[in-house]
Amino acid sequence: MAINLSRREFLKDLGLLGVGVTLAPGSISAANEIGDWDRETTPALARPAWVKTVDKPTTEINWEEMKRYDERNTCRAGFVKYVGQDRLNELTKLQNDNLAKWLKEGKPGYTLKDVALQAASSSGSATQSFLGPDVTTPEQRGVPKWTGTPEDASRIVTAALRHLGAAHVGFVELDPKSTEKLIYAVDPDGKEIVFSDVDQPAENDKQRIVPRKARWVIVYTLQMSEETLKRAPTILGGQTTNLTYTRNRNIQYRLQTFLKSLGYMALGEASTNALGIAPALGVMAGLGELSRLQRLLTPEYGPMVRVFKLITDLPLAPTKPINAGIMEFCKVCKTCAEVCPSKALSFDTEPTWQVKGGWNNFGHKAWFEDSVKCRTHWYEVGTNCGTCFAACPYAGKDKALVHQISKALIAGTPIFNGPLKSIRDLAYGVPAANDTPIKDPELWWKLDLPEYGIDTAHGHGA
Amino acid sequence: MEWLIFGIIIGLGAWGLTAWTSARKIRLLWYDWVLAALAVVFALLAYQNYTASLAELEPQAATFLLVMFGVPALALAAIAVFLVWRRQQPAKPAPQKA
Repeated sequence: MAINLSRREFLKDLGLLGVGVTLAPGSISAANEIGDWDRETTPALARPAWVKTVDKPTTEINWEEMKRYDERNTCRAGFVKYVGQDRLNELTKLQNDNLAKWLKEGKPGYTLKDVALQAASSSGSATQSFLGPDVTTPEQRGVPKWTGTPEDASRIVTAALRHLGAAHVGFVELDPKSTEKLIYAVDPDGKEIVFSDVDQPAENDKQRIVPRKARWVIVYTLQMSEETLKRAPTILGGQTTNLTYTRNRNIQYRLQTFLKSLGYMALGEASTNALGIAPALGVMAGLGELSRLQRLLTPEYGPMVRVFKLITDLPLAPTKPINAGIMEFCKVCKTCAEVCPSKALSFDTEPTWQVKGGWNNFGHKAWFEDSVKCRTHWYEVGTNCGTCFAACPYAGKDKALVHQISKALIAGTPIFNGPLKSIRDLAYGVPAANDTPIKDPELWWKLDLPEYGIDTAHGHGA
Repeated sequence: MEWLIFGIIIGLGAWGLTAWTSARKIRLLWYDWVLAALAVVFALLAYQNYTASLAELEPQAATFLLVMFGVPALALAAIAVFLVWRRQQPAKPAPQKA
């Protein structure tokens, strides 16, 4: 059928088409938002399209070479064995002297109000334990324990953890030949973690017993405040780390209560950094990729997370590792290594199998760090530093479209990684590697930040 | 809501432009539309990244991104206007051969 239009009518229709085209994306977006309310049945898997799930993580792993690791060999628990008691005493004195001096001087980020916030952030949390609190069991309530498919279980655990304050949640199934090796052989307090064919978990003076039927690890992240950590390496900057650990003590206690109330085991971290290797479990659960700064780097929050884990016998549907182009970007970026005041991070372009020291675990290809240099600097600045976290290009609030565009390009076309790093440096500047915070600590006290300094909508509803 | 208002303004602008050019018998070619559309896209990117970077408390990045996307927006718009303007100029008579 032929339609006769005058030139004027045609142009008018063209204008109307323009209105339609410009309004359409908004309408689609609004419709999606309404639909998502019903459709988002797998919240743990709601990631941006450019985050691809893969069968093997971007970190190469030699499971045969890998052995279960003794946490006391990390510099966190075993620093003294690498530097000796005399050096540790010297560093402890230096730290105490520096902190006292800076407090009296009113050095930004080290003032009395910062110290007071440190005390506050570290206080008021539940006690961490391996076995978890006593709860009212399903039997005591007169009902059978909760049952469902592994997918159903993953869904309710994710929903519960989100409600309790977690950001992203993933699940790893333990296999004695692979993933089980990511559970520590010995916890920070010296207790051995033993897998055994017993019916119930147990703990004594020397051991924590994990029944073999408890084969699933719940791995979850808690967001840190990027705006606060941009005040690293000061006491103020470190308060988002402190607060996140404190928040997790409550979250772990509540997750244990939730799982035990359903009728299942909930074997948690008995102390900070206990139970298993957090970044490795995060990688296997698909929460992020291993990065140059030797920590988990998530597509959504970058390194601005802390990673926590818990073992259960509730069958869960494992989540797959991801490839968002992060490890490839780390090869080019090197910002964290450049800004590290102690030069503890690797400048090598390619990761290596060769570990730097006993604080590293064999069996995976990574940019191994000089943990002694890193830890020594912690004593010098009197805090847990965090400069590498703060300087990472992925550590942002993701409000500007340019972040999403960059991340999508990084994931799909590594050829742009170099130019993107250069543009990023021009736009945001390169922080100095001299312990000067990226942002003014005093200004932090005047900001109108959201609760916990984090945006809880960030990273969801992709 | 902000983007809905932008959509309405841009749509009405496009409609008004077509009405105005047709009333004045100004001839627009396909590439004029392409250039104008690209200018609008860059202008929107400049606006979004500028305001969002300010919300991110990153004023240096806000200024940089405003320039990075805003300058191409202005350049594309200027080229489009210039091409239309030049096409409207009466053709000069060809020089007579001696």
